[in-house]
Amino acid sequence: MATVVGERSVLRDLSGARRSHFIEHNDFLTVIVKGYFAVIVAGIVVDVASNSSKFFTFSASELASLSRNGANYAGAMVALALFMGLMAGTRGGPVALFRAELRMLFLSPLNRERLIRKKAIRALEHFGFIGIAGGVAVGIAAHSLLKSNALEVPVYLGAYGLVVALAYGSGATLALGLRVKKPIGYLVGLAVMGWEAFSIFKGIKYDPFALSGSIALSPLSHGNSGWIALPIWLLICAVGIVISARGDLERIERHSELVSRLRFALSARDVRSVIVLSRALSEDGYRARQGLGGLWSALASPSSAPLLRSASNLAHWSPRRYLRLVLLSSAGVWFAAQGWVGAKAIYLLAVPAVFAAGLELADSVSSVVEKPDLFVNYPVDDGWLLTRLLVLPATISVALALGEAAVVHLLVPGIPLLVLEGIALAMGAGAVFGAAVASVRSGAPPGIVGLLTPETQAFGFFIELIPVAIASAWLIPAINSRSAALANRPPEPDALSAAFFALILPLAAWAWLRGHKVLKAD
Amino acid sequence: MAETSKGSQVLAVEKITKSYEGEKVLDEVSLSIAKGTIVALVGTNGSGKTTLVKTIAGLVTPDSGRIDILGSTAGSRQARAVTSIVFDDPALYPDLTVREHLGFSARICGREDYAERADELLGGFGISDLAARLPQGFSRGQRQKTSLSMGLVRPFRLLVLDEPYVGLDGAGKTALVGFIRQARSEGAAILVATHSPELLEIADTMIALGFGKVVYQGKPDRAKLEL
Repeated sequence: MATVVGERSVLRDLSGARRSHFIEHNDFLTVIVKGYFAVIVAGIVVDVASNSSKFFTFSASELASLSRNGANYAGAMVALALFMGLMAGTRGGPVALFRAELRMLFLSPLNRERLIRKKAIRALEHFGFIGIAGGVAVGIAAHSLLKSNALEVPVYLGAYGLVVALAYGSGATLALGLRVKKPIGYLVGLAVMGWEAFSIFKGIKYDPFALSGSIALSPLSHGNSGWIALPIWLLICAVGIVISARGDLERIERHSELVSRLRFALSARDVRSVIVLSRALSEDGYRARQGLGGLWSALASPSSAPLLRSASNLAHWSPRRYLRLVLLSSAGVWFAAQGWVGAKAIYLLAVPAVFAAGLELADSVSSVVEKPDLFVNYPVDDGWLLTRLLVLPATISVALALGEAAVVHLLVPGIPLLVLEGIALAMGAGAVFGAAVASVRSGAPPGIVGLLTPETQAFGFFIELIPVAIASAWLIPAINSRSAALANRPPEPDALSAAFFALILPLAAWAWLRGHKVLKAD
Repeated sequence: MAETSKGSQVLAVEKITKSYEGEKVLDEVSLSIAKGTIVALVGTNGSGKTTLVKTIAGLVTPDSGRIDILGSTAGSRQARAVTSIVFDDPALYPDLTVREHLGFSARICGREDYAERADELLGGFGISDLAARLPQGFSRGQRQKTSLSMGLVRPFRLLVLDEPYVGLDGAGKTALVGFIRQARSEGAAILVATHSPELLEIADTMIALGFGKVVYQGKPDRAKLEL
């Protein structure tokens, strides 16, 4: 009874049955709407990046320098991907199983090794696609920068993206199969990064990572020696897939559990959970949430409890978290300031940076969503509990933003300090409140919605967009005025703004329809 | 159980130890189950019951010790072919009907003539009307009944149930006890991890775990349920 007769045909039938139900029950309108928005977002990103690249003009000497040293920097990305892959492998990645698969397939007499390999191959196909697509998108956006053929650059950068993906996959599968422990994986990864840093410092051209990176620079250097890296990484990846079958099922199971939660949060478009779970995935554990501890309970009078709880949460944050917050909000203010002066910047980075910073700060709201019972007895009017919980985060956010604005004022000339402080103030407060409303609305059980004032409930969807709108508001005049200046014509901010906000209308309509559908189902 | 003859022994756990971050979850646990017997595994939360079940399933590798299932190491293909395990948290494919879940559970384990047995199980648990439905929107109890049916429809010589009563209504509990007794009469060895006093009544032996150690092994005794 060691083998199952017709194992492959049973698995084929299983896939077929699942596929037929998927086709039968899937709502294709939703798929089309998702595709529509994906295309819009991708289009905006590529278009903005492409427009941004027109602002740059590399001189002949800069191009020569890029041709000379760029391979080392591109190689550093490959080394970083290998490092990240190693870390993922020590945590049970890249294989992610559905719990149902684990129970039905892995507890049966089917060949577990073959099942794990199959899953690893699927994961690597996925990474490879992302790598190629990302490389091609960057190539399309950057071809004018490199003063090269519009077809050649995307092809080479697509190949480079594949190499980066293969490096990640190699690290992950090898670490999984060899059951590398986390500290060892970390040390090996650091050694790899150190090696590449040394190569950059010394300008060594013939280390394996620089060779891999040289694919990206092939349109400039007109050399094709880097292509040898592709089959080598494929070979390493193939070895990794073969030995990944020896991976520790316990690690795979834990990793799979977190990934499945992440998938669910993604499918529910729950941004807060996505960020929290992504962090848990990278830290290989669930976030320990600080309860309303004895000291705080003793200090708290019922009416001040929300404020103290908020302070308690902030006091228990790790230094790493504070550092992350400072970096995120700095990035937001920096990119917004760069947008104002129309200089070189990837403007859109301001949006996720500000929103992620807001989510970090609005953490205390998560407690309301996840543990509503804690707050039932607080004598605080409905609608004001949330506001009280957010007083401290918003204060810190604003203070941080004001400080960073002052620094930006020193570094980026041409922006009045008053204007900059105004931006920072709006961004800080907007980020916290926008993210908080998003948190409550996305994961709240029905009773929790009562924590929002009626006005907030009515305009909740638009409030969620505050951070995005604030950051976007900086992009529009910046891009428009720069484009107009380049084309020697007056700026047309109204047209651009209208075009941008028109994109939000279908999103709002879709959100309304979705809400309507849910209400109807209830 | 120590005197169980090797010939009738289905499961033999010998001095299993498992630690997580320096804390021993299982500490030299030994037990054995003969064919045609039911063993109730009891203990408080965190006593190591589920870890032991996962070790028998081959999902957790012990730090030391050995588990044999009819002469094969736990987790090997031979061992998995004769062991059916149902965990306390039902996990179902969202895109397979209940009947398909049962069908594939049986076929994957080499049983093609499952239809009659599937009908018997679905009828017994009172979920025949759900047979053609996808599990989306099922209650906890309906999911648990489906999961138990999946475990019982496949061929096995060792049946391991982790907290099988969770979510079941009265009729479901009665049906489950009937199916467990049926499996025993057919010669299967059965290990039930449970907190339920009712399941002790059908057990031949009770093993109590406390802080990862076997603290009691003998006749079922309600008084020792929360040792």
